[in-house]
Amino acid sequence: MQSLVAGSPVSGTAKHGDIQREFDEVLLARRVIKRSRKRLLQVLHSTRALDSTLKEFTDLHGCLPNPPSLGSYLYALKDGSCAAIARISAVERRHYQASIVKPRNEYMHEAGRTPTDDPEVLALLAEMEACLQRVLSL
Amino acid sequence: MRVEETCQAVKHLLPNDYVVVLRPDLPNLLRGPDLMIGGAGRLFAIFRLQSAEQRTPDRLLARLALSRLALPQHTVCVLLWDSQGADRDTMTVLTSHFHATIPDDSPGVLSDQVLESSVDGRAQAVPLELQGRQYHRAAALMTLSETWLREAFPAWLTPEPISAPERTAPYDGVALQVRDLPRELFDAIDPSALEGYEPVVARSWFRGTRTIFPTLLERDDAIVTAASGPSLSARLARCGERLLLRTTALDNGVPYPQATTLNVLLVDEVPRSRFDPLKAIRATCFAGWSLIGPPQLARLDQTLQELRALPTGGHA
Repeated sequence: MQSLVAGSPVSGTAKHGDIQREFDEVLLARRVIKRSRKRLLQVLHSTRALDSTLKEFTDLHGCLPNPPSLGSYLYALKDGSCAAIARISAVERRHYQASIVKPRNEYMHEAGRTPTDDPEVLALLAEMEACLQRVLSL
Repeated sequence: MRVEETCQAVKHLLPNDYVVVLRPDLPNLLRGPDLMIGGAGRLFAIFRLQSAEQRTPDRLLARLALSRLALPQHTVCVLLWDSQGADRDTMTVLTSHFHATIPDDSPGVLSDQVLESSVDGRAQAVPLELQGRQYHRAAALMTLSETWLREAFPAWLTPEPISAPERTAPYDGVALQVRDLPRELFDAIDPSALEGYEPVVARSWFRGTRTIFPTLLERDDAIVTAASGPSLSARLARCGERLLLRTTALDNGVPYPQATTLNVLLVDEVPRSRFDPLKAIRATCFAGWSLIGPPQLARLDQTLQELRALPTGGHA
């Protein structure tokens, strides 16, 4: 993912270094021994990398939604508010909403909700990467 | 020079803010580029003929085509050719589909190319519309395939590995004799599911791959095949590549669709990779297949109807 972001227009923004550091943190979190903490950190840093990349990407293309949020970036990318780039389809938006936004919000905002089931969390992390790759292809 | 050595050499030659990744693990590709380089807003995907591809260069073209559909449009695709023993005829066929071809003993030429970003190869940009259609279809197929596979393999995505007896449920029905595939997989098929189809069991769908991809059923608008075995992910990768070669025509690196079929791939387990449990499904769907288990095969007509009902695109 780091090579994809470095090879995208986002690499020219002031936030690029911070985004790459978030990816580094995802890898570093693998060393955390307590599994639930490790997964929570991985979700946290992945979501910050994804959110920030989408924010910079939509801003670069003049369609930064207000208020900015993962769900609203996806809507902006579907609705064609970013006139200069292609759009994601409604099916894709729904897929990302269900596979990323919903579980991500639960982990980030719900007290006591700790990711302990490895396959679920790993699937979430991979879906975030897939979403990032899709958006950078627009 | 091996690609690992090229990777190391290029890392030393490029500025620190360039990211060089050996065999990047990309979410939509089971077999992607051998090397990826990103920096200063430019992206390079580097391919080298792998051993199996030297015998069948079409496999490299399929790997290239799927990678081009998955990666950003501005990605420059470079072929590293074997400076010691490249076959000239093969190279002639391959060259027109890449932006650049570079001898594998010249990492300096590669790094110069990355820094200058000057390419004058014959490869054309993949139209965004084609790419959008591929991603849209993949998302729809994945959603449906996930639902089907959860029904077929309830233990899927549990933390513990799925044990062999749980992989397939017992079903009554006809047994189709297909070599190298678990018999119980085919015991699932209800005879009425075959009505209206021409069974072409055990006939090779792909030349030379008889035992790997037996066609179960085929008609003008649908292909039903199966994949099974110890290296299921590798087989799924090959299935995806074969489907792409069969349904598209590659012209200067762009895979133009030639045929539209409902593509159904029967599996007897859900392949799960260590860091991305959905990868095999996501990547196989990206290549155009839907994945089913025995229950969906047993009600094949309904399964195909559900596939046919998938939204075809658009932004509504």
